[in-house]
Amino acid sequence: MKFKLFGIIAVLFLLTSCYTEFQGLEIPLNGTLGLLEGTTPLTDSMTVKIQGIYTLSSPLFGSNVVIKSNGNNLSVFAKKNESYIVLRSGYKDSTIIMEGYWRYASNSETGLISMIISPENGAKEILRGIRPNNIVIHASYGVEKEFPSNQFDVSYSKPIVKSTDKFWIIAHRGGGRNTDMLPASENSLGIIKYAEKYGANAIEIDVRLTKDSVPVLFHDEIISKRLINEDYFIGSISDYSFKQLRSFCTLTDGEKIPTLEEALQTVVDSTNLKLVWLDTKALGMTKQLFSLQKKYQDLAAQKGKKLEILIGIPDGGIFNEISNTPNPQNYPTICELDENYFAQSKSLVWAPRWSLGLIDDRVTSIHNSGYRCFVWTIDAAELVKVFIKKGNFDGIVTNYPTVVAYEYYTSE
Amino acid sequence: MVLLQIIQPLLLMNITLPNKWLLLSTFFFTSFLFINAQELKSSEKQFALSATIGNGLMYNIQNQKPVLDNIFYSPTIRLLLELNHHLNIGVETGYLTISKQDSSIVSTPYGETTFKARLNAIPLLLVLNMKVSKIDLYYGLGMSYLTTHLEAFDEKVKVGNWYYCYNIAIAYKYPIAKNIGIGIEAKSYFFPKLQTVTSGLSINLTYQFLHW
Repeated sequence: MKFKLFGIIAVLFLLTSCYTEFQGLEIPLNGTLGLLEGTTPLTDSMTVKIQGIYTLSSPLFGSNVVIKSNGNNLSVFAKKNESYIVLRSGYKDSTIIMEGYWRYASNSETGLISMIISPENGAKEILRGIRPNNIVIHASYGVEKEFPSNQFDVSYSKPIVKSTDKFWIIAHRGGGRNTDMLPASENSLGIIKYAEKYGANAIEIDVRLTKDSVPVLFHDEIISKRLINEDYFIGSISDYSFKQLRSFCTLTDGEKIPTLEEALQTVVDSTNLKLVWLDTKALGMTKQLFSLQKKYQDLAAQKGKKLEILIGIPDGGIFNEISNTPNPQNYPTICELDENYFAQSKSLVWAPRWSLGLIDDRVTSIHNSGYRCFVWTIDAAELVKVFIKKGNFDGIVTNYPTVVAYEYYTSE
Repeated sequence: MVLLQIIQPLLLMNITLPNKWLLLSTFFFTSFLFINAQELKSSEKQFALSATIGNGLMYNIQNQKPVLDNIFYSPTIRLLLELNHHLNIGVETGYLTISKQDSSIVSTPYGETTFKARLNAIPLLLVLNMKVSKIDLYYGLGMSYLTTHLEAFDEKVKVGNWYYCYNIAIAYKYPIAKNIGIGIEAKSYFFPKLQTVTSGLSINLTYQFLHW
């Protein structure tokens, strides 16, 4: 009888437990401590001088981290706990001040952090545009909303890998999935703006067509509350008109479902991303994709930015559609099919899935033909390490660009 | 320990979370079947078929904007093979309105429009019933056909799809005649793919129309 009672309670407990998918991480105090008030923002050339591999001793971040310039801000990537730090920066009276938040890539622990470089520890040289021989950063972190009080020092050790522009760290779904507890929804304009802070220099975004043929960003074939807030939207994106989706449907973070055009505009206007992979999820939009590809590559060029937009060929249907378009070779594509299709498609990049392994011979053969290879989608840190250290790929698609960034920048 | 050894691989399987719940709940009910099958041996066998019709108010928690009406009468019908023991088995269906918005004028970035929306579900569930003292516990597992009707910008959309669905219920039945009982039931329907739960109370009428 006791066992039976236990069983009944266990079943009721199990079945009435809430099924909730994490819908986004709240950054404590928006990562703001107020330390940057009255400071002057660092320039890109100053943050590059801080970039490097640093040693430290911290229970949160382990024994070494990568500090990477991200425009006029900085990000920190650690191996331990797959932790990372997103920082904003400024200087005042020859002291460099950085504040922001830390978190783990694969769980929701987070907190605030401050990092200070005093004039005698390298700030003077950095502000004059000189790389100091030594940089020591005084850092403090707190947990959740507590003021940072756990102090540790971070010391410059050596430079990061030299070829920072020759490897593509491609953020999946614009920066990561909803389940990755990011502060914005997957495939949103918000997450695209975060991608570089997480170490990515490229993004992969999913494109579907509305009923009235507007290309929008959305991953799933079936609409559900995994991605949106409204339960009365079921079926697929192509069942609804653009106006209906935009007026009555919101992503889990509250943002409206973005159009592809808005996403590309955001990439050009608000980021320094170098590559966008359009994962084509529906037939019938090739001409629109070609047109938008050209428009936004030209726009980026006008702004002096080097942006590559690649249209994905994930299956035979899309392959046929693109092949049947006049002069398909004029439009850069990325092919996920085997090498035969890749050769026929005249794609610039071959993109096999990671489960095929390192496939060195096949990758080398593609390289010898003058093309690149990206592998998708790798999240596990150990696997990332193997593919970077032993593999020959030119890029990795990942939900954890912070993990790939750490492994790549420390790989030399 | 044995239970843990069985559950642990399920939890580590590379499957979606809703399917993990389905597997786990199936596992637990298989355990119940096992427990009760053993007790059945010592019991006098009498079988009966009963039908239960119920109707009551179901409530759907929403975090959407605009918030739609979310309390509706939801009739259900259940056929149960009663084994005169702890565990019975049956089928259940019903008609649930999960959320609904009658015609309203809504202001949008594209101008004002008439907006109507309704989400309905017709669950088809295999139901297990266990009597514990005078209380009936129900667990149903199956599929549900969900339809949405949306009207905005002079365009009507009707979309239907099958989704996994399960429900749980706890009920009390009071006999008013030899084969007839009335009762009250609290139940919840879960639609894992949609991450939607609708719960409520219903009044039931049960008629045991066949026994042998």
